[in-house]
Amino acid sequence: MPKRNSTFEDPQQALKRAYRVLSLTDLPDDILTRIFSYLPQNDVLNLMGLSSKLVNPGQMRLYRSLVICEKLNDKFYQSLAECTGRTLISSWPRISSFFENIYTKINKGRVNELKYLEYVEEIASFNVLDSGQLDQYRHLTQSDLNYILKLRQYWDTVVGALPNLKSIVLPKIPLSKLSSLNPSVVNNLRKLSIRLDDGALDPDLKFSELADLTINMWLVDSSPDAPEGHREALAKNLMQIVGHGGTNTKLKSLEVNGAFGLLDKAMEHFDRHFQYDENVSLGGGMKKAYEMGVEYERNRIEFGDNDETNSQYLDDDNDEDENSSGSFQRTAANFPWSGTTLDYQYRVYSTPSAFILETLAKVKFPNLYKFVISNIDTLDDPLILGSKAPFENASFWELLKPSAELGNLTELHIKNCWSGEFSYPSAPSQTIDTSSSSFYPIKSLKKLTFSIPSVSTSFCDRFDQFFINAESPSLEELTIINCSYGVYKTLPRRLFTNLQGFKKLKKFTMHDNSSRIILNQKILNCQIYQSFWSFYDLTAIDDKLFELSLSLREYTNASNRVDDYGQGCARCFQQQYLPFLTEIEDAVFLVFLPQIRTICEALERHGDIFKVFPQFEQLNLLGFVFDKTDLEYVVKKNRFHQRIRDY
Amino acid sequence: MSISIISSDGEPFKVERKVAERSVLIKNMLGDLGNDDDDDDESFEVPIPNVRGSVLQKILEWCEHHKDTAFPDDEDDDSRKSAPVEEWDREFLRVDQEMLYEIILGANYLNIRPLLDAGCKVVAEMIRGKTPEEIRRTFNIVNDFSPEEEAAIKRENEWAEDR
Repeated sequence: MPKRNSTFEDPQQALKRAYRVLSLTDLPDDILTRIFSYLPQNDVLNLMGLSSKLVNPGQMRLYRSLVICEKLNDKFYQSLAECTGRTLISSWPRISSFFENIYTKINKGRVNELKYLEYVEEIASFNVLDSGQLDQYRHLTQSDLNYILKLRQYWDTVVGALPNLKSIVLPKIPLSKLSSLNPSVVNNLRKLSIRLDDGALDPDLKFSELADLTINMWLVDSSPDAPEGHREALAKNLMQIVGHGGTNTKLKSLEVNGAFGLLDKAMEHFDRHFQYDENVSLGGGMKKAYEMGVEYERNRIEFGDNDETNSQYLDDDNDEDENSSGSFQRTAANFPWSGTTLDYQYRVYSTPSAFILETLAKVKFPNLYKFVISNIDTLDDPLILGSKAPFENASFWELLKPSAELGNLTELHIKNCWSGEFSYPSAPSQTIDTSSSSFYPIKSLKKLTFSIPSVSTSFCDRFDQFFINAESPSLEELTIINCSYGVYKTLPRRLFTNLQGFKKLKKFTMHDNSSRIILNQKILNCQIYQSFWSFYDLTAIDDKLFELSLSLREYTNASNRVDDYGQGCARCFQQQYLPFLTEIEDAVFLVFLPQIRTICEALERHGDIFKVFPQFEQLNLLGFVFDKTDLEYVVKKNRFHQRIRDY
Repeated sequence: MSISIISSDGEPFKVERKVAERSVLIKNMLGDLGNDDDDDDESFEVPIPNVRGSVLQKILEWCEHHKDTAFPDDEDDDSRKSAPVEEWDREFLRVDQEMLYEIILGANYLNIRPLLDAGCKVVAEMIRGKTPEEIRRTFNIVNDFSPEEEAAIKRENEWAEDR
């Protein structure tokens, strides 16, 4: 505690103070804007209607960062906007009215009414202006087309009138659209995510302040067979953005993305439109639970409430009786995961990335701290990773070398990268062997993400070998996405055997899209088992669990996203879904019991997890976060065994 | 080195350098004086004309508690925004509204970003999910709009309704 030398306050000052009570509206605009940045936009709108003093800070908050989403009530973007203080413009009528209003004022010369445009620092959209070609799941209606055409009419004028833009995140909009902006705005941009194309760029666009760049390659043909002059034009545009005379000291974060949002869209679509199919296994737990529920209800009515009568159903795991009632059929159909297979087909469109990486490797990026390569299918191209050590002529490593040698490169994320056109469940063993033997040592690496789908059991060890070969003693955060269910089950062994060399490990994340539906189904089953006894009305179980299944689907859709929508961290969504997660906490713990149990057993052999990884803070399994307190609780107080007994 | 921080009402607070340096303003000030040696006997007085004694005392209590805390990188805006307020901070900021605002203003002036964030988040939590009438009551906000102005504000910002 600081030492306090007490003195008396000047009586005049005290008197002044006594008559002045500081209130919310007395706070300066910058503080109010900061407070508002932690609030959802609807709360900010409410505040703006209360006092004229709150209007300006409210506008500053609302206009600072705009995310455009043509869908109304998209939970992912709503949560994203809410937890990062962005403003969502959702649904076509609102998008259209927003742009039309500004467009009209500009055209009528009423620019003095548009002061708030100065507040816009970021504009982002991950799907809007999408003609339909880019999203295989989307069917445009006539109304969509009308809105798209209207928006295109307003777009250049409105975006061109934003003088303080610092960030443009429009992964599906072609680069040449930037030519409609004032060069001074483009030259002041800090962040850009845009689709590379061969359209002519205004030579005055220098991109001189750009620190964060994502090059998206939807429908970009950079293959040698591309039409004459196409590749040269792509390379010219790319060099105009990052060239800077051969050495770019400004760029700190670079991503090459073959098909932004592809895997996320596929998963979202699969979850959302999953249809109940009688021929597919229902999943024993759920079926059993419902049968027990129906049977329980019948017994209750016919014989009165009798625990002994009911308990026989709990023990009878092998009951094959298919005699399901109509209500059971309707109920089962409500569950998006009420039948599932592992038969995924994530198809990545061919985007010969070697050319792009080769072009980028001609520039030196000494200050690059983060490199991401996502959604490409040519990782095993010798030009990218190289066939065997040494690493010369492998553009991937050539690109990273300058910053790695200076110790600046701290993040490397290889996400959803494939070996050729790849269908589950083939394993890209050659890729991983090739990569692991040719990994350039990056000693400064702190965060690493790797996702190549596989089901091979030995893959797990080769995979970890990859990291070990990376010679990354500073590694703090490791993320593995989209490996098989088998790999997820081997988590404890991996942590304590394969990865224990990483003494600085703080966070370990495993996202496994192929098993997340099974996981969700298990969580629901647990909930059914736990709750059905307390409901006498089966319709009530149905409603409750249907709601739960929707929340679970939304949560896993949000927390398992592969691409970066500005979502920050898993904690962000944890906060948004806290009441829901608290409701299912027991079930989540129960589902992860086998992993945690093995960890507990491993602990007996290896000692405390915090001795093996002294700085360990967070384990994130399929979007469910277990922090240090959770783990300590599990380890020291045997929480899981208690929970199991409760069940 | 001993640091004496003087509040606007003349109250001096003696603190160790590490505590004082939670404030980027004071840290830069000390840096400008060119004295990086923590062990010498020299003492410095730092006047803080914008923060009164009782508020400064609270702020320094926070600095003392967090003198060894490693806060996340300032540049990571998204994770900073989504991080919840730490339990100790929440308890520490359980004060009357005026004191809370003064702590926020003090943290802003002294450039103590984590305290400023925590204070703003606590105020935001007091607002979150409340109806306009509840907000008006909680914060004693006087309506200075005419009905026409109120309608115009609503109309102008309709685009931002997300549901």
